[in-house]
This record gives sequence, C-alpha cells and structure tokens, in this order.
Amino acid sequence: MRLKYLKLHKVEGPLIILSGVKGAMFGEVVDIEMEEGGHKKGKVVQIDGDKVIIQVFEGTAGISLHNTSVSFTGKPMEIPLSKDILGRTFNGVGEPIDGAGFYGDRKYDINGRPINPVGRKYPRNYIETGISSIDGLATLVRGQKLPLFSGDGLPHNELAVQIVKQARISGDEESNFAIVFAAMGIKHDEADYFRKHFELSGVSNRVVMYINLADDPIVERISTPRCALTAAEHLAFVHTGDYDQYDQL
Amino acid sequence: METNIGKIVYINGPVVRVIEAYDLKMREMVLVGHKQLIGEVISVDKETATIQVYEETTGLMRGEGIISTGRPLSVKLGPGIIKNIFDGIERPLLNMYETGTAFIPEGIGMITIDEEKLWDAEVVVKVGDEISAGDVYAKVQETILIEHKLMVPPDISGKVVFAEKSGSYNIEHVLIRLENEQGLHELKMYQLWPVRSARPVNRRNPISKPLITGQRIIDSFFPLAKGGTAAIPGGFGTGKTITQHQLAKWSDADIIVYIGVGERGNEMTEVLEDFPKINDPKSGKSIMERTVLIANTSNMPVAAREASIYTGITIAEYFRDMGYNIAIMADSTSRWAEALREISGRLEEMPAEEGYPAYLPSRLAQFYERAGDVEALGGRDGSITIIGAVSPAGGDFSEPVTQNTKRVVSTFLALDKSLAYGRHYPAINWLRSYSGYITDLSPWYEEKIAPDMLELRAKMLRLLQEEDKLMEIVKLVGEDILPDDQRLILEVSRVIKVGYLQQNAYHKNDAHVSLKKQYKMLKVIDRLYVKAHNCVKMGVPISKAKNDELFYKITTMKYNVSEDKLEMFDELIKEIDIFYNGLKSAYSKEVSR
Repeated sequence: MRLKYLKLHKVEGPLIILSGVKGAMFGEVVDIEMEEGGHKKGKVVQIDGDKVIIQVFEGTAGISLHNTSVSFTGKPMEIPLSKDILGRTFNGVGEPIDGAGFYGDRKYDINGRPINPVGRKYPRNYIETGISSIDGLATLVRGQKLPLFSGDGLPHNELAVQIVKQARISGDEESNFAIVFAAMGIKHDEADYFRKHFELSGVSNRVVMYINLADDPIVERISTPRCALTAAEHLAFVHTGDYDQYDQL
Repeated sequence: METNIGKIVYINGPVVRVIEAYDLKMREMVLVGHKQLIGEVISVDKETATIQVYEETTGLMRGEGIISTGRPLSVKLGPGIIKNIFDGIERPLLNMYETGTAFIPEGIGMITIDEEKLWDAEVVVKVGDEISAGDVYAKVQETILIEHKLMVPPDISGKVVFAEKSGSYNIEHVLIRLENEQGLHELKMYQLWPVRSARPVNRRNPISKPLITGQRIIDSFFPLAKGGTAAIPGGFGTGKTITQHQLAKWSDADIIVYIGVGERGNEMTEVLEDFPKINDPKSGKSIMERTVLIANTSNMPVAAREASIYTGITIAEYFRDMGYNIAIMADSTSRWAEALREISGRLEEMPAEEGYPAYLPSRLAQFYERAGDVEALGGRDGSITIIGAVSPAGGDFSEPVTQNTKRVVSTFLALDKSLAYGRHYPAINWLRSYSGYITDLSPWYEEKIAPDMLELRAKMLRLLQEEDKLMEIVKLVGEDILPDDQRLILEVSRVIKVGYLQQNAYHKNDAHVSLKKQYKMLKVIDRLYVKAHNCVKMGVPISKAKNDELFYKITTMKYNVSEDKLEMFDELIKEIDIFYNGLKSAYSKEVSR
C-alpha cells in the first residue's frame, strides 16, 4: 500500500516541501492529487533529513498546504514508448496531447544513461537537409548534433520545418529514418504551424512531436528534451532506425 | 576491511550526507546505498560526513547505509593500463561494453585493470637481495613499445625472502616477499596508489629538453619542454581538440595519457578509431601501443570528472617512475573547473569569481605542478609534460580558469577564432602565444639543431610583429602607399604564415615535420627576405623583387620537400641567390645607363 502524505510543509514557486517523509528516493516521481480533482506529477530533487523537496511539473497553481495529497511512486520519471509513437504529439512529460490515448508495452527512464564512448561509432554518414548552406558548409552528420542559433524575428521556425520536411539520409536506409521533434516554450500558433506543415508535406507519419507550449509550466521544459531524447534513443536502438532531433529553446 | 556504517540523511545530486559515520576519514572511498555506488568522503563533521558520489544517484533513499573501505580513492597500477580506455575512476570502458550494453550502468563496483589476464613476467631479483623503494623486481612486456617495470612501492624496502620464477601470471600473483623490521610484505604485479597524492621522487631536474611535436609553430616558435606545462586556450570551434590530437599523435613522448574531460563522446570515439591506424614515426608501430585513454564525457557523472584528472596524472607518474617521458593531454580543464564549481555549489560553499570555488587556483596549481622532469625513486630519469586545453566561454581569456591557468603554465598557445575561420590551422596566434622555456632550451637547440636556430626564430617573430603593426595602416589607407621595404615585410610575412605556420594535418609531408626540416625552411625564408630586402634597398621596385613563381615555390616547399630530400632546400637557396643576384646586376646596369 502506498502512503499518502496529506500535509505540505511549504510551497514556493515550482517547488513543494514535505516533512516527515520516510523512504523517499532521490529522483523518483511523485503523484500529487488535488482535492478538487486532477493530478499533477513532481520529481524529488533533494532529500534533507525527513524533508523532501519536490519539483512540480505542470505548475503549483492551486496547491495549498492542506488541499493536496502526495504519494511516492518509487520510480524515476518514465514514459511509455513503442514504435507507435511515430506520427503522435506529446507534451513535455510524455502525455499525448493529440486527443487520443497512448499505450506502450514498456516504460523507459527519461534520465537515460551515458553512452559508453567505446560503444560509439564515429559519425561518418550525413543527413541531407536540402538546404545548401547547411549541407555544403555546416554539414549535419548522423550521430552528431547541430545547434541553430537564432534571435527574435528570425525565421527559425520556417527553417526547422524545412529541415524536418526535407531531411533524408544518403544511402539505402531511407525507410528507417525517423524524426523526433521537440519544441520548448513555443506559442500555440507556432505549434499549429508545425503540425500543419508536417501534415501537408506528408512527413508526419515519421515524426514524433514533443511540445511544451509557452503557457505550459516552465519546469516541464526541463523534461521535454529528455522525453524526446529517450524516445529517440528508443527508436534508434530498439527499432534499429535512425533519428534526427531538433530542439528549439 | 569493509564495514557497514552510517545512514543517508541528505541527497542532492552527487552530494550525499550521512550520519552515524564516526570513523570515516577525509578522502576515503566509500560504497553508497544498496547499489554500492562509488563515492568519496569530502568533509567530516562531528557525526555527519559528506560524500561525493561518482555515479548517478537517482533511486537512492534516505536511511540506506554506506560501506567504508578504509582507504582513499586509489587506482590500481600494473600491467594492462596501456592501450586501455578507462572512465574517471579507472574502470575499463571496453570491458563494460563487452558486458553487452552500449550505456554505462550504475553500481558495477570498483572493477579496474584485468585481473585474469596472464602476463609474461621476468623476475629480476633473487632471494637475499636487499631492495628498496623504486627498485625494479620484475619486468613485463606490456605492449610492443612499452616494457612495464614492476617497482617496489615508495614506502617499502627490505630483504627478498621469496622470489617467484619468471613465467606467466595474473596480476594478483605474489612475485616477491620482502622482510624488514615491520614484518613481511608481499609484492604482487600491481600497487595501489591514492590519486590525490603525488608519487614521491628523489629530486627534480632542471628543464633542459624540448618535447618535440612535429608542429612547426610549436617546435620552432613556442616550444614545449619535457617536464613542462602548457595551456591551449581557445573559444569554440578553434581547434583545441584537433591540436591536442596532433600533439598526442606526433609528439616524441614515450607514453601519452589522453584525458577527455567533459568533452563530446564522439571525440573519444574518434581517438579510439584513429589512433590504432596511425604509426609512430619513431618506432613504426601503432601509437595506440603507447596510449592510455581516460574518458569522462560530458554526459557522465560530474563528480567522476573531478577525479578523472587525478586518475590520469597518477597513471602518468607511475610510468614516469619507470623512466619514461609522458605527455598528458587534458581536454578540457574548463570542464573540470566547472565540475568543481558544480560540486562546490551543491556543498553550499561560498562562491568566488564567476561562481568558481575560492580554491580553484590552488587546485589548478596542484594539478599542473605534478608535471616535471625528475629523478624517480630508484634513480631513473623520467618526465611528465601536461598540456591542458582551456575552453573560455565566448573566447574571452580574462575569465578565471584561463587566468589562473596562465599563472601556472609556462607555454601558452592561444588559439584564435579569426585564424580558425580563415582556415589557418593550427590556429595558434603568434602574437598572443608565448613559451617560457626558450632560455632553458636554448642550449639544446644550439647544440642539437643549429647555433642560429633561435636567432632565426627571433627574426621571424620580429617580422610578424612588424607586419601586424603595418596591417593597421593598411586597413586604413591600403597597401599601395606603403614604401617598398615595408611592402616586402608584408609579402614575406605572408610566406611565413602560409608556408610555415600553417600546417596541413592530412598531408603526408606536412602532418609532422622534423626540427631539421623546420630549421632548413626557416633558413630559406630568411634568405629570401635578406636577398629581397637588399634589392629593394637598392631601389628595385617591389613588383620585380616579389617574383610570383619564386614566392610560390617557397610557400609550397612544405609539401614538395619530403623528410628524406632535405638537400632540396639548399637548391632552393641557390635559386634565390641566382634570382636576386641576377636582378641586382640587371638593375644596377639599368641605373648606370
């Protein structure tokens, strides 16, 4: 039976502090149940004696010291994954936001583990984006990363869409190529813009989207890229496909 | 002596606090929690102790116990180190990979060099010998290039009462038993050494030999010394890693310890894939046969990053004691300083400049001061050269890590963004770099290369400095209004920059260059300048004195003259003489007419 803690010690910004907790695990996910209904998720970020500091995803709005019950799940943050994530849209904590449910047969820890450098292969194959200044001068290499730096008013969204639309791998592994698209803190109309264009260009069945909207809780932005990377690792290693990943900060 | 003690009360990332741990010592290695994560005690209070954990702490619970090992964080030093790749606390990554996962698991314990592998050991002492610290008692051919000498650990000496026959043994096998007043000591094929203490030596030797790297700008302009220290600072994309790789590949050290501190995993992979294919110019064998890799890539736990530098230098000191010359590449010390900062922040210490802990300068000094040319215990001479990359954010050299590093290193190879973007590699800025070893090394250069080598160096640097000043004027008013002798400086500087300082890492004649060839090249450029300058002074216009064909020939001599045809340089000098003498006589006739 899981213990439920009914009284909080303190709420501050995105953090809540509980006291009198036995057996909390560092990094584990907690379930926060509100009196008026609804659940939130949080993560243990510090344990100090019997005090536990929890970072709440989805924001602390509406939480008071008495109206909330907290229970510990005993597991680090995990998201369900399977090959069916292709073509779907999720929020920053891996819940589907495209109107349908999602069931994956296995759950994966989003914190990942460091890749052993011995197990890596030096990147040699490149990803063709069809944008001559990228392909010719700053080539995107498979298994590498490429940051795009942008500022206000610059067309980074258009460029991102273009990369996602056009990206291909040279060679014969075409069918195994998937794109994980993570967007942090974007506006609703931008999210619509991405979604529409992916659908129009017919690539959406090989794109997975993780979207954290501008008005979503800030702390979820921490987990958004992790969810996306975990999904990407899942696709890359479990289903022997390839992935490309684009982050917008 | 492993005992279960303590109870975890506080967890914050890699920092864990325990109570009821009375007997913990500072810097002791402990195993934390049920997963037995490896950690190190970093502070002890009346009843609490703070531990930094070298693995991911997610899943750790309050109330879990810790196991005390009774000894400081140590590395095992014995055969099996060379050619291997380790993480920050000397756990072999290759063996971890062979267990079947591409990721690094937690709680795998303190595995280290292979305990099963058999080595052919030749025992060189016999019963009755008196041996003391540093004496060699057995030898093992570890790789084709490296003979591993097993030495009596620093604090032991005595009379041999048992000596094993030479033969194949694993490292746990007892080879020698020593007897002295304290009792019996067993010497196996390895010794343990705490990473944070420097291994003792008989004395330090003064610096007298350069570390030859085959890179022209380094060897002839800003030399590194065997036993010296160097820093390579540079912003992003200026080629720190490539420069480090070049040094690791071509320098004349006997052993290279390459520490990848908080850098990209793909870079370590590149080393792992490339190094076995490159042959050492001296021995003709693969350079992997003399390389040790230590990797704590940017996504590995941060506390182990702090330790990785010490692990590397301890391994280097061990081989130095055998009488080898070691070069350590640490790429990059900024990531290491950031690891110090992160841990310091979690300990709630008072931050100093830019959030780095106040003890950053002393830690940097402690690390770099472990370099040196020494006479080790046992009377062998060996050296450690430390070459640390520094990555200042935004390429700003005034930040604390660069500044504090500058205080303790003697060679400073400043990488320059504009050179890198102009495809001038290695992008070492000749105006901002310096080497403090010129005076120490000048006898060596004068004796081994040529008496006027350093004179040529000074001349070339003067020309480059002059050119830099002239370029300011050129930027304002253009090159055409300069007098001809100054335009000649610009032209010759261009030859120095393109034909000498730029070096192509992928060209077979240019990837590494012997000092002999470097000297001859300088000689040619100097002759060109002297002769052309004479002509210009006589009134020959620059358009004539700068013969495109000749200048082109000199600029490309680095590719066209291979190491075995150095006499071609003498022909070039002859060609210069003929051309300018002809020009001179033609011109003096013209004037007199």
